[in-house]
Amino acid sequence: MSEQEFGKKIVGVLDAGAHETMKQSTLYRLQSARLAALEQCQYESESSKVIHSGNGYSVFGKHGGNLDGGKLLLLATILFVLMNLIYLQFWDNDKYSAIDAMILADDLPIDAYIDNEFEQWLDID
Amino acid sequence: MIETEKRAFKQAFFAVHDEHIALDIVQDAMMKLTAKYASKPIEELPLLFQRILQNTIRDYYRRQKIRSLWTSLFSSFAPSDQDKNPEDFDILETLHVAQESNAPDTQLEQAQLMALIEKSMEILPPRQREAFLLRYWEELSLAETAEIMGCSEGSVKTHCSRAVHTLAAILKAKGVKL
Repeated sequence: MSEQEFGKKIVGVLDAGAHETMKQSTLYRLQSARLAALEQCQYESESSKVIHSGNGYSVFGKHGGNLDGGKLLLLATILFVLMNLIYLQFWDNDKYSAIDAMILADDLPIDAYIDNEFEQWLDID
Repeated sequence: MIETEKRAFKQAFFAVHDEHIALDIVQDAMMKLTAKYASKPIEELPLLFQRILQNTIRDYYRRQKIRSLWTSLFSSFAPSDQDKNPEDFDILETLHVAQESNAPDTQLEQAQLMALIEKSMEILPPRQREAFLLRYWEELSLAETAEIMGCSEGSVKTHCSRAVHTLAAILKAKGVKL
């Protein structure tokens, strides 16, 4: 007997097994899985019709239901951190640019002249 | 679809040896098919479904492998059989099928033969079983089977041939003639 013939005979037995020995509960679960898949298929096609008609076309190309609480929270956290970083960056720039301007304009505050830290430092040496 | 789902369930069951997990795999594959490929032409769907099904079974194997890796890391240092090649065992040693010899009833003989072949399918090495079922049960071409399995057509032929020889050896050892 060739490999092909042998394979086909085995498959014949497997086919019979799939038809005869399948439990009713298994068949029921398979049926409900198929129905759920078909339902999803129908839902997908209907929602795509709505999307392509121009109504409800969201930024993400799908439906807005994708933005759940967790994602929103993550987005808010990232935005908060970014805003803080930007604020600190500008605040530092402002501080240094003010000091630079004062030095360049030779307009140092009076504290700079009455500060005796330099003399103290000389005394220590 | 009804016929396909029965065969798909059997394929998954031979691979994972658990009815509930096999059902989950089939359901998962069906949902993925309709979610991603609902718009594809109907004649392409059987092949796509087979590809998704085999990938889902492989994903299950991968998850099991990772799980068993973690389990073995936390378990004692006792020697385990994890390193053993899945193909390095004698199939006849591990095969246990309830048999009542000299049963006069043809129906009983047929049921025993079914049980024997299904058990043999379960213990075939995964790649051999996959190749055999896709080629003979799903009647896919060599090229289609190779595409689904992600290997060359030559490898598919080798896997199929080995599967046939293994099955023939099991049946011969049990005194069954097809």
